[in-house]
Amino acid sequence: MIKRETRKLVEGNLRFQSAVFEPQRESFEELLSGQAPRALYVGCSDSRVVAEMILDVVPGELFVVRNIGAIVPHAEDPSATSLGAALDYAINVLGVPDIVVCGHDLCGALGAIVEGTAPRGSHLERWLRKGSTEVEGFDLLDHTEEMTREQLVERFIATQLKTLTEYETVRLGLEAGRLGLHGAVYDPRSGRLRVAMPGSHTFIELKSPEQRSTLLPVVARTDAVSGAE
Amino acid sequence: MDRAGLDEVLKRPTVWVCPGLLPAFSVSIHPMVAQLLLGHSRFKSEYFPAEEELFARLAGGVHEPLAMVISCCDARVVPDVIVNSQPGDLFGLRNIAALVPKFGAGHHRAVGAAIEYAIHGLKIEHMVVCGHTHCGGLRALAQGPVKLAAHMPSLAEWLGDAEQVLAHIRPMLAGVDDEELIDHLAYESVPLQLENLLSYPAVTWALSRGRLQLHGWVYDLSSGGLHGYVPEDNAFVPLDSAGRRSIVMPEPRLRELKRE
Ligand SMILES: [Zn+2]
Ligand SMILES: [Zn+2]
Repeated sequence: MIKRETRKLVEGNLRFQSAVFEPQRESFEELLSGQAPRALYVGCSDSRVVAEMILDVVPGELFVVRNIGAIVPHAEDPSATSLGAALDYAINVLGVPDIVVCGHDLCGALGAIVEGTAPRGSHLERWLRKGSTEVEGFDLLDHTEEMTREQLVERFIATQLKTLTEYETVRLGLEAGRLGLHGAVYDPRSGRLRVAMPGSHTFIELKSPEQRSTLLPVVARTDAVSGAE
Repeated sequence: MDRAGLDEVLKRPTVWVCPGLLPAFSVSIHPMVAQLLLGHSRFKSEYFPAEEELFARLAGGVHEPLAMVISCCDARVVPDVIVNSQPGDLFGLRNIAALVPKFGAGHHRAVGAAIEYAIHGLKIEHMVVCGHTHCGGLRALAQGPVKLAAHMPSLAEWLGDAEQVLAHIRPMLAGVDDEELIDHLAYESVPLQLENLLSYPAVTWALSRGRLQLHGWVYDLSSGGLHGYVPEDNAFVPLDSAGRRSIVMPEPRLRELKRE
């Protein structure tokens, strides 16, 4: 009755139960009383971009919204309800202190936005248009600047972060100083993550203290961080 | 990682270094980002190199997921972890309470776009709606979206779509305490979301051509196991032989799904 493809998923669940859940039953049981995630992650549905793997977090740590393209629709648009509900719940019910919007290189959705390849009149096309593409006078769809796809996705994520501030819950959280917004871009080719520098459109890859390069001076605190392992 | 130790460290700004820029360049970053980057560095140095071949294949443009999974935002319910899959296996849509608004409901677009892309773009053959026990979204629903409307209008509107779930179950569960009701809501919700999937033209198009199968699952937080919906019996059966009981739904319906 269960077809091969789902059989693979069901067998995966059995492996999960015996190799992950059972040995850590106590940790999983602690989660029964509720969740207290450290951040809300908004990312793309793309199967290659699995937040919990890329960031190596355990169940319970990341509250996750996934949609096509990691799009943040304009707050007044009717299609914003799905994300708006998650923001309401994460910020007001769970008190999540941080939001991370994470895009990725090789994103089919962003490609479809830029190239206009989504079938005309489809929901996909209309959804992709909800991804605000303009920020501070810069329009992704109408740019004359020479830009690589990598720079484009970075600009795109910066734009989504800006759009997040249209949501009242987010605005109130920011004003009260109890919310932080962060942007990131994952590269499926290299497995690397670039993070947005606060207050700029610059995304850079940061070396973790454990992977210190011999070329680079590793300054204060890094010992403390690796000491926490 | 020792959680207490980490918390202590994260209270202070962390200085990280940036390769590729001036050697002396270092940045002070937000503690949250620092924590995520710590996790990411484990991924990058351990998991990614170990699965080099897989990632090279995926980066080469291969995006042929086994299934699309519509699941809840809940941090405790990570589909890729639950079915122990690899990157590239699951196309994932996550929203509050794993809901599928009826086509044409106005705010269905986030879901509709993903469904269209999955069926027409990725040619996905299996679509799973995966609810879960202990769902906070369903708890908020049980407590009444109207109460939320004043300070959480979006959540109230989103859950408003799922009120049919509650309406359906309330009379049958008179007398059970709230916790029991909420867990049962998950089993009640999944078949209704499957039914709502049938309102999407892309779904009926693919079903009529035998290109798509729909699946309804409930993840049990207390056991780590899955129950799968069997439309013929209107029941959820354990998707393994771990000896869990089947869960029979109170009322037969969803005749359309039986063609699956
Ligand atoms: Zn994408
Ligand atoms: Zn939930």
